[in-house]
Amino acid sequence: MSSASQSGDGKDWESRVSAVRARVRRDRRATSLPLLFLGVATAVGIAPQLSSGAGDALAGLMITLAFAAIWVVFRFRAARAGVGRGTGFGVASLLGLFLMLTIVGFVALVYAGPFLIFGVGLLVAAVWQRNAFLAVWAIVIGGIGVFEGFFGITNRLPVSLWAQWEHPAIYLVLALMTILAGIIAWLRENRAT
Amino acid sequence: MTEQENDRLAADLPAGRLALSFDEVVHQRNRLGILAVLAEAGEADFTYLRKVLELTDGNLGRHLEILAEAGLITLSKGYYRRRPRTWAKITGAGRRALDAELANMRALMLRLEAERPRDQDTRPDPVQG
Repeated sequence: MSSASQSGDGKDWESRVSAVRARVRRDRRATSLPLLFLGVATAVGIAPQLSSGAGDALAGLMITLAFAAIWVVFRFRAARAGVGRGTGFGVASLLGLFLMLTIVGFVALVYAGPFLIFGVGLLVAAVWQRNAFLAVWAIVIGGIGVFEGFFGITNRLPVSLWAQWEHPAIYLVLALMTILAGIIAWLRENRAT
Repeated sequence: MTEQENDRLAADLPAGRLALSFDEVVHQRNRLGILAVLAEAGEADFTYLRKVLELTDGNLGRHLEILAEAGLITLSKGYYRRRPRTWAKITGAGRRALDAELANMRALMLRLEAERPRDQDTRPDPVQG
């Protein structure tokens, strides 16, 4: 057999492994489901702040509930479809509860904002699930969110723009970006054969 | 050994030696498929693996036994709605073996790609016409 045909066989082999892995990701909705749940929950938690200027507690609670919901859904899907587990998202929800219910965690949340739960929780779950995209998303969006938790973006906006709704609006944009990423991930997962 | 170190060592080997460095347990097509599924999902049940890999019960069972004996996966029994289920879970050794296999395969492909121009220059074998 020539090296050219052997190399072709090798590529077939690699594409088969990739196809199998993509099929598993689709069956589990491993990336899209967490992003959609977290994005929607964060948006729901942030939305009331736009008008009332209420604190971040509701968003923190919603993100924690989203982690718990993802864990339950993954467990249900694993039992029904026979693949995967939600391990990691259960830990993330416990982490969220820890941050909300302990004094140390609560103080950290007051300063850093609800995206501390989003970023750290999603990163823990992503490492557990070995999902590189979720890990990158956790670092990027969680990092921007925590930066804004210290008003890092708002304070750099022109003073004329300063308004009560700016801070939650930035959070809302991050939540909507997460939903959009979830939709794109869903469509990409659908391409798997 | 890291994947990069593995790649570098593999790149230094001649193609023939490189092919010999494959792990027989992992290299088999269906067992590689099982490990690929489990590496992605962490764990999967017998029915799911059979459906995704399009294997018969006996064939899949035999491959799972071989992988379990090699310590690359663990098997456990459970029930769902009173139906017995067998779950396969990848171990750390299984993940490392799969990573090494993928690295070896990539290195071999690179080597074969590098050798391709020489193959194309040679004339067709006169016996084969």
